[in-house]
Amino acid sequence: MEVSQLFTLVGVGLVTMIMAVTLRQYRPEFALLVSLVAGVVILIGVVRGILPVVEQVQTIFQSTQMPAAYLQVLFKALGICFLTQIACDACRDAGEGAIGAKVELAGKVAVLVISLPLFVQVLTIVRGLLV
Amino acid sequence: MEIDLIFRIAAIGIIVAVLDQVLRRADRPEIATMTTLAGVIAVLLMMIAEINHLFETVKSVFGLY
Amino acid sequence: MRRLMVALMLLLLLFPMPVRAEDTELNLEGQMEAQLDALGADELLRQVPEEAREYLQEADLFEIDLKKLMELTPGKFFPALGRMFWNTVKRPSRTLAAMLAVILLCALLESMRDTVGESALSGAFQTVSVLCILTAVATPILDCIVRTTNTIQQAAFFMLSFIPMFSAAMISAGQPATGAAYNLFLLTTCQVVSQVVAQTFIPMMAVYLAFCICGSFVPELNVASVASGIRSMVSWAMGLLLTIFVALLSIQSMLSHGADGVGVKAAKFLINSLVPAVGSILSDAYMAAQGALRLVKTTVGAYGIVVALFTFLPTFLYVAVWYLITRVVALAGDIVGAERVSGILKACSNVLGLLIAAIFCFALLIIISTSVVMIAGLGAG
Repeated sequence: MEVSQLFTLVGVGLVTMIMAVTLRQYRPEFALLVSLVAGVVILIGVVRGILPVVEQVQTIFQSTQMPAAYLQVLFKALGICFLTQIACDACRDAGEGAIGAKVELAGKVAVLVISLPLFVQVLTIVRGLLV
Repeated sequence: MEIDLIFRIAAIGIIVAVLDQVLRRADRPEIATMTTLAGVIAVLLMMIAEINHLFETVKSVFGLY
Repeated sequence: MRRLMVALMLLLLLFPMPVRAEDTELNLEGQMEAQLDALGADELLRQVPEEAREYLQEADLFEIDLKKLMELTPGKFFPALGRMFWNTVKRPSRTLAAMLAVILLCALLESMRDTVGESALSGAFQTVSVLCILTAVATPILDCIVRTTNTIQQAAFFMLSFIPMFSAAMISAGQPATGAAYNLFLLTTCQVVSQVVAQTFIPMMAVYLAFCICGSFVPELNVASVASGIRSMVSWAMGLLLTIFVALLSIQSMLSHGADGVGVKAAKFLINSLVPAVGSILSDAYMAAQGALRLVKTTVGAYGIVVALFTFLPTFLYVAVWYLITRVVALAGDIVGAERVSGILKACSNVLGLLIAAIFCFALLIIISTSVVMIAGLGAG
């Protein structure tokens, strides 16, 4: 991500903050919507900027002998955590802690299901250690 | 970038707020409520497209197909 | 009986050596070779552990040769050592890069949360990254464990044939009683220590690692106390074993303590600080060995020490490289704030550290016993 993109995102963040604060006095639900959309837009920019990092990490991993499936699991888990964190934070910001907790639970379950083969692998390792 | 989307939503928010105040002063609270609801729904529709965009980006970057 | 006769003949050549004039030295090599062959040097060479054999052949030291051993300088070791080092470091460094990349991803996720303390999602992701790192690191660690066990057992096996042959040459010099006693003592100690270390301590460390792995998935279960209990017990037991050995030898007043030169003090300090868990005891044992090592003169004894060195060095380098790698990645995890990842990596480095201590312990044991037998023999002639 170049520095100019960073400036854009920073500017967007500041401006939307002011708008949200202004709107909160009149229509609080709009303030919430504005902040939510600002968050989404900023995160799109961030995720686009992470792409080169992700590719670099993938090339590093390919040179070791870790199977590619595990690497995919890691990245999928990262993506799931990202999304769930966004939703969770937004819910908590809006004061709906309960909904946020449920979304978090859904995210944790998804990560667990995705990483099941890794668990099996580690269990075989532990069994090998105990023999 | 989709920054104009934010400004559009903020603009809708301000318009709705003003309209709400005006309509309330004009003794039409129910129209005021309906305007607010209409504004919220419009903004939501705009937002859903944006959230979909976010999901697509995350899917492609992290390989979440 | 035949062996005794041959040993006697060998000694007739060996001991009067300083008295004879130069004209017999040329003849000496050939005669020594003949005597060594008769003495069963072939069989000894067959017992040399696999790893040592390669490196000895590379450094051109495989045959027990008086001349080659006499002109042994550190300079000859360094090319072989250097190559050994580079071969060991290459592949683990790629795994190091991969593990640092995983910690980078953890850092990415950590930066997203806004509350202090571990948010549940970063915990979930850290668990997945712990799994990934474990699959990368577990095979090398198991490899280290197996290699250390094998090396210790091979070295013990080598000593089994080395000590009798050597003290058979020395006993006939005139101290049969003490010679035989030391022979038996050293043999039994070597075997006992190698068996205890290989069959008890190292599997216990494997159990410790298994505990830590399971504990990292459920931090609330607080497996850490049990795990650290196991670990302190193992390091305490190893220290005890080594202390007993050194104390027994000192009581027999076989080992005089070397003078406290600057070099000796430096080496003692280094061993104390670098070797984990049993460093202080090892540095004391090193002091005791100092006095013995100065008297290393005989061919076969020096050969035994060279074999011990080359046997342990590759394994030691391999384990040390992985120890450093796990320490570095644990540090990175600490910096980033990924506690689970750094916790499991610290457990791994503890296991590797104890393996290093076991290697050092046993190598020092071999060197001390070799020197002791030599002193026993030389003290008579």
